[in-house]
Amino acid sequence: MNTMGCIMTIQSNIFWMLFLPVTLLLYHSMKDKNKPLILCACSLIFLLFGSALHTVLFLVLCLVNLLIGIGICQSGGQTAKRKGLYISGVVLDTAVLVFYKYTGIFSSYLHLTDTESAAYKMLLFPLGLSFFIFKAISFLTDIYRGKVTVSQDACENSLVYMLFFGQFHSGPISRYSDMALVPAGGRTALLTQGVYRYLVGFCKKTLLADVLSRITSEVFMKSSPDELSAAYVWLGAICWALELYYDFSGYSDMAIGVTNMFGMQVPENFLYPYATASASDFWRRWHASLGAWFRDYVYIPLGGSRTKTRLGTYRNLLAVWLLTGFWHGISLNFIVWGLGHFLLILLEKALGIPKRLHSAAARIFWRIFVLTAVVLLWVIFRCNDLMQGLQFIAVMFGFGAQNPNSVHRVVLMLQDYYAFLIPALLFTVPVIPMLQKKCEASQKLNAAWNVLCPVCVIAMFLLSITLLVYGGNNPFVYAAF
Amino acid sequence: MNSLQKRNFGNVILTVLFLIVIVALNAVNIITGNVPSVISVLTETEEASGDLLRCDLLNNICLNLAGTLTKFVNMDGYYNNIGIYITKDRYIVGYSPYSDTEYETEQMKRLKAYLDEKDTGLIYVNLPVKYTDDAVFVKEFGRESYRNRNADLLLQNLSDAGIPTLDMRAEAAKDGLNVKELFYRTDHHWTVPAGFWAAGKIAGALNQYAGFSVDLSLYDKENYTFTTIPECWVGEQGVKVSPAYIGYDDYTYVVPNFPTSFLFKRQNQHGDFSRFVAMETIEAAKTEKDFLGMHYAYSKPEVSNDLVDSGKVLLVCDSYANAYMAFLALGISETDVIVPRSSELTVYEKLEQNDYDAVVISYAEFMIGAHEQPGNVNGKMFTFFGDES
Repeated sequence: MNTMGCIMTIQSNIFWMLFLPVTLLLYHSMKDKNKPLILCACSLIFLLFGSALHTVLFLVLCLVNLLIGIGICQSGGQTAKRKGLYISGVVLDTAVLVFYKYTGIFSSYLHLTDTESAAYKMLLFPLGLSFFIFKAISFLTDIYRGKVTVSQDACENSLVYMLFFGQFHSGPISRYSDMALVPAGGRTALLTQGVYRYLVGFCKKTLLADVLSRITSEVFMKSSPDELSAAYVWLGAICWALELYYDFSGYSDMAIGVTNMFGMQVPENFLYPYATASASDFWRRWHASLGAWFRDYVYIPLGGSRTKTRLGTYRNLLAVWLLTGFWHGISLNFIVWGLGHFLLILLEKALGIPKRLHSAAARIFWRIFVLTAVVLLWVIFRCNDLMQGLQFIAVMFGFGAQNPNSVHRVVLMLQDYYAFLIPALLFTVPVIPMLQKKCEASQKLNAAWNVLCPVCVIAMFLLSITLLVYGGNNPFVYAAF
Repeated sequence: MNSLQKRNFGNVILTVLFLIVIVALNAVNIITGNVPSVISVLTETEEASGDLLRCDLLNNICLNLAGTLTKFVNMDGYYNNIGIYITKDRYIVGYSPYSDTEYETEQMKRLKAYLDEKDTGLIYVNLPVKYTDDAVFVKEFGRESYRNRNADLLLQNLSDAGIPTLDMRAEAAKDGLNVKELFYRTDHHWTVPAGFWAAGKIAGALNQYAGFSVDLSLYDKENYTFTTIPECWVGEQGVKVSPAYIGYDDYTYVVPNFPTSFLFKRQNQHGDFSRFVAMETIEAAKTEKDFLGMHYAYSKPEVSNDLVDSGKVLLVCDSYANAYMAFLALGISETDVIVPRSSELTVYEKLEQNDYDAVVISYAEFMIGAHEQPGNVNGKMFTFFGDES
């Protein structure tokens, strides 16, 4: 998939040093009725930092979806017209996504190798397109179902929903109704909470995800199984699972934080997924907005679990997981990754797990089993292809040569990175919220927390900046999807 | 009070601190004049965004803070991704993958055949790196380096092809020197005293293999003054990890105590040994810590020695030669220099234009196999004829 790097993301220095403060100042100095317009304009400027061509594409898609949405609303009881408009909109949005997702095929077919040519640039995958299309389809579907009403007089809200820069590149996939302004009285508290969330996400991404990527990129760069050992690949696999979590959840925190700063609230996207009790529950905690989207706009329309037979439910689940795999890419490893999660969930549904697990030992066993399966599936997800993924998994279970140098590397890497690995493992469970709750029980502790916490967060933020300047920054992993 | 209200005060403090950071950083940019235009930010790549934190002041602060952090938590492996490995005694080292040295051997053989027709001598000088046993790298870092083994293989191949070689690792062992002490800790180059020592060895090899009669007493230490400036600079590798992390290197410069006179060919001007040395750079290092680029205080211009009447050498070299070329030139009538990776002429073209008594190819071990590594700037070093694919 060809992608063009964007000059500004919500982690960029220019974003938090210039764009965000200026935008916030403009926004909060406006009356409520003018706020959407300002936000639209700022979102378009944000997109312009990437590509003018793609900005035009997004604007056109926005307007088309908006017109279709208005058309559906104005159709009233004309069912055929409503349905026709809705299906046209969904088909158009899906076609655009499919086209750009797989333009790599077209590029090679057309022998497009000149990266400066207009043709090549036109076929580059617009960053944020996936999440934009998800939102557009959600928008049209909610209008079609009567949950949302739009009119020509209130277009800006729809444009804000689809274009808002805070969530543009990698979600969360919020719903139209989520983007309503909170009452004026709560906005200051929400703004400051947003700042906290943004900075925490920034630190997660830079101090944890980007540092752990040093380990994962070394391990997963190995082309031959002869260079590996079980310990080495397990370390790489665990670090990759942690890196992906902190990268994506860090981004989500930043996106939610920015959304809060502009007076809007969106649901959580990551809810400590590695503390999950089951595979099904994992997907209510990991990228929750994507899971909810597939549930509401694919699984339930197909019939969900309300089918005549169990097989129907399983078929619907398979459709969801195949689509999820394909959405990540056309490569076999993504498909197998999606199928792997399908099989896990299928197993749980078929056996009634974890409801039927009564003993603590059984529940603990199941947690460990699910977590291990998730990590192994992440290995397949991360590898260049399915064959490499299977080779890595084979080495993890002791098959193939065990390179002694790589065992030594494990020891060295643990010595080097323990200061980041330990917190990375610790914060996969809600340690900070539990501590915070305990402190809130006492006035003195609460006061101490209210001073220490911001000082720690700002110190971590400054450390994050130093590592960014050094050059230790990776692009968001999920921006590529 | 609900949870949000209880946390609000802390969040307000945080917001104020964040605002202070933003204002302070923007103020630094304005004061230091580091204000990229809006247009350049809109049209350039991701790097333009990073420029907002790349004025010298902030860059240095951030680099040193990052270095302090990594040192504090002992995260030596953090810099491995840029090819920097730190030994227990705080030397920066690197590694090379395996090379079969076939390309290098073929090029050397081809060059030997060409030079034999011109009745010109050829010597290959293997310059060491900071470790002479690759097993040390495995032991300290858990990964294979083939720097020394690649050099062993190449030297064996050259020897089998009848090409004289001088292995500075063996010379160091003979003289009881610890190879590591020949080098800076924070730079991949060797020191000026090491270069001085090497010049005497290369001169000896010219006498032995190319029929030269260089007066080797020229290289007795008593004829020179050694001056050390303690902890005055950070090398090319060290600046990537910051002085806060790796510390500073001493710098020792060496000057002869006897009269010298050269014609510096490019400028067509006469001068003495001091012209090889940028004394202003060295003087600045006495007062300004963190002074960069000390290795290049010694240059390698093409010269004729007014006080020596025999011997014309073409030195095909890398930047290690900055440390020894001036000393070598003390014993030779004419010394020309070519660095293949950056020269407009190929070695062949240089040889076609001039007649030499000997050609000395003098490379650090990490030149071997460089052409096999995509993007390696040293890939052209063994390309002598320019028509190799």
